[in-house]
Amino acid sequence: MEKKMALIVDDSSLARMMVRKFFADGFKDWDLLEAKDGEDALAKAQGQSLHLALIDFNMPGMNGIDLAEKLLEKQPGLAIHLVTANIQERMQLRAEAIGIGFIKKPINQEKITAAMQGVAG
Amino acid sequence: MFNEEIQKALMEEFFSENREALDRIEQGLLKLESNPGHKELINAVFRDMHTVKGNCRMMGFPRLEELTHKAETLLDLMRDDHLLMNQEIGSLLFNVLDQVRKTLLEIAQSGSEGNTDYSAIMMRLDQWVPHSQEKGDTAPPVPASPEPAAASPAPTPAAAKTEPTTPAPESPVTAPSDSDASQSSTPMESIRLSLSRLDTLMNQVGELGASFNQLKYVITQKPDHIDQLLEVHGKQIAWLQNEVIKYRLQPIGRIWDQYHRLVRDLAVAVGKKVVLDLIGEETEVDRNVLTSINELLGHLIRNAVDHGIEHPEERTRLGKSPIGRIILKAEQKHGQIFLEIKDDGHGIDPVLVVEKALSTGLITVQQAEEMSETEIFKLIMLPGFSTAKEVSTISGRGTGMDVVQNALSKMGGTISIASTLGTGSTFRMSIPQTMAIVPALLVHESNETFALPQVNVIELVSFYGDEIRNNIEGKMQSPMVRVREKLLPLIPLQRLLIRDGPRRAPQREIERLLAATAVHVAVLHAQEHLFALEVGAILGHSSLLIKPINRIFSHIPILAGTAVMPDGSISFLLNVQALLAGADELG
Repeated sequence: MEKKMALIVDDSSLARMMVRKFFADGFKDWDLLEAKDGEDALAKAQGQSLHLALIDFNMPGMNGIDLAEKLLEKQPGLAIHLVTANIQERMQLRAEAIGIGFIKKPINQEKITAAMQGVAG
Repeated sequence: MFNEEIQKALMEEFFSENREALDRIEQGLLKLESNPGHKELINAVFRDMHTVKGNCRMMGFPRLEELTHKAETLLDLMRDDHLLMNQEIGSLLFNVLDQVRKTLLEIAQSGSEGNTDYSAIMMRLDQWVPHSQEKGDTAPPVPASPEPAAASPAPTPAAAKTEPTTPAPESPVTAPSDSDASQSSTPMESIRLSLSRLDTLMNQVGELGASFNQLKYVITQKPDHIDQLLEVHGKQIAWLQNEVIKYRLQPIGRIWDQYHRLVRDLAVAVGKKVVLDLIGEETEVDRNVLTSINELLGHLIRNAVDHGIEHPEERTRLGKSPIGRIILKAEQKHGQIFLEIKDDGHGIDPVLVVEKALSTGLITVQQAEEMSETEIFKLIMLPGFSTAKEVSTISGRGTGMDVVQNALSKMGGTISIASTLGTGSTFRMSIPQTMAIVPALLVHESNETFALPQVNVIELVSFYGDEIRNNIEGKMQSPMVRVREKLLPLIPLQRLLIRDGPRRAPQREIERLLAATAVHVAVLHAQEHLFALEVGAILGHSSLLIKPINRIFSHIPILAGTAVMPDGSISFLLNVQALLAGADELG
C-alpha cells in the first residue's frame, strides 16, 4: 500500500517533535513532512502530493490561514486543519469559509485520527 | 502516553526550546524598552511567549501555562497598539521571565511544576488587560477602534495609545465597550460620550445662551453692533453642528464583522471556498447611513458568493485558485464615503443581460444596439432583473439588485458597475458621510431654488456676450461648453425639470444658449464623469439641513432631499448622478 503524506507546520520544535512521535507510533502508513513556518512549508510541499496538513495558526511570517490558502491553490482537494488553542471568531469563520477544519490544542493521537477521517482515498 | 525514552526526548526538547525562547524574549524586552513601538520586536516577543505557553500546555504544566498565557495576552495588547511598552510593563515581564525560568528549573529537578504562588504577579498582569481583551491565539490586528483607553482599567491610561494625532481620551464616541463580535451586529441605540466631551459641549451651549442674551440686548440698544454679534452667533452654531455630527459617526467596521459569518455560512451552504478581505474598517460613517449600508452591502456580498464566485472545481478547471476572493473596501474623501466590493468570480455576461432585458421588454432592440457596456451593467439594477440562471434559495427569489438601488437612492448615493467576463465584478458606490447637514451650492432655475451638493461641484463659470459664442457649440446636436480647454457636455437644468411637457429640440436648445446674454454653468462631477450644468443663476453657498424626500416626489430620480431655506420656503437637493443619467435619457 502506498504511503500517504502529511504536512505539519509549527514554529515550535517541541510541537513538531510531538507530532512526529505520534506518527511514528500510530500512523505507520503515513510519511510526515515537517516545516517551521509558512515559507518553509510551501518550499517543502513543492512537488509533493499531500493528503493532510496540520497547521499552527500563530507563526512568524504568514499565519496559518494564509498558508492554508496558498496550499489550497496548489492542491485544491487537500484536507487542512488549523491546530490552535483558541481563535478569534472572525478568524475561525474565515477558515471555515475556505473549508478548513480545526484541531484544538494540545494535539493527540485521537485528534489526528479524527482529522484523517476526512482524507479522501 | 509515550514510553520513557520518548518522554525523555520530548522533555529535553521542551527545556531547550523554552530556554532559547526565553532568552530571545529577554533580549527583545531590553530592546523594546528603548524602542517601545517597534512592531517586529513586539511580534517576535509575542510569538516566543506563545511558543513557551504552547509547550507548557503540551507537556502538561497548567500553572505555568496560565502564567505565560497572561503575559502573552499583555503582549498581544501591545501588538495591537492598545498598550505601549513602558518601564513598569518591562519590569513586570522580566519578573514573569524569572518566574518561568525558576519553575522550569524546578521541573528539571523534580519533574513537577511545584506550587509556587503566582497570584501576585498574575494580578499585576491582569491589571493591564481590559476584561474584553482576553483572548488566546490571535489574529492580525484589527484597526484601532475609537474605544478610549479610559474605558480600560489600566493603571496609567496615558500609557495606552490609539492614533498619534488623536489622543485616546479625545475619542468622541464609543459603542458598548464589550467588543464581543455578536454585539456589533445589533443596532446601536445609544452612544457613550466621555465626560470631557460633554463638558466642552455644555460650555459651548452656555456661550451660545450668553451670546443670545447679548444679541437681544444689542438689537434694542445698539443696532449697529448686530452684524458683528450675528457672526459670532453663526460660528458658535456651526461649531455645535460639526461637533454633534461627529458624535453620530461610527467606524464602518462595526457592521462589517458580521460579514465573516455571512460569507462562511453561504460558502459552506453552497460548497464554495471564499475569502473575505476588509479594507478601511476604521472609516467613519453616520449611524443612520450605517443601517442602510448594511442592507445593501449584505445583498452585494450574498450575490458575490452566490452568483459571482464559481465552485472550487470550476475555478481549478479555469486555472484560478479554488478559493474565491471578495474584497470590501471603504474610504472617506471630501465628505463622501466610497465603498467598493470586488469579487474574482465569473463576472457579468453583458450578452445575457441584454437578452434578459430584451425578453422582459425592459429595452428595445434599437436601445440595446446603442448601449455601452457600462449602461448594460446598469440594467441589472432595474426592478425585477436577475441574471442568475437558476433561482437560488440563498439570494432569495425575486429580490434583485433593485434593493441595492433603492437603498442607495434613499441615501443620495450612486453606484457604478465594472465587470470582465471570467475575471470578476466590481461595484463602486459613493454615499454622503452624513445625511444631516450638507454643504450645498444654491442655484436658481425656472423660478425655483435648487441645491447641489458641494462635494460634486468643481467650479462655477459664467459666460457673457461673445464669450458664449466662443465657448459654446453644438456637437452631434448636443450643446457642449469649453472650460479650461476642455469640452464638456452642457446640460441645461431647465430641460431636466420638464417631466411630461414638450421639450425643445436639441438644436433649438443650442440656438437658445447662443442667443443668450449670459450663461451660468456649474462644472460638476458624478463619479468619473465631468459635465456642466446650465442654471438660471448662481446664488451662493449654504449648509443645509437635509430631510428625506416626501413620498409624493420619491419617484423623481433627480431629487435627493429637501431643505428648509432661510426664508422658510422648501427647496430640493439635486442628485448629481441622476442629473447626468437623466440627460443621457433625453439625448
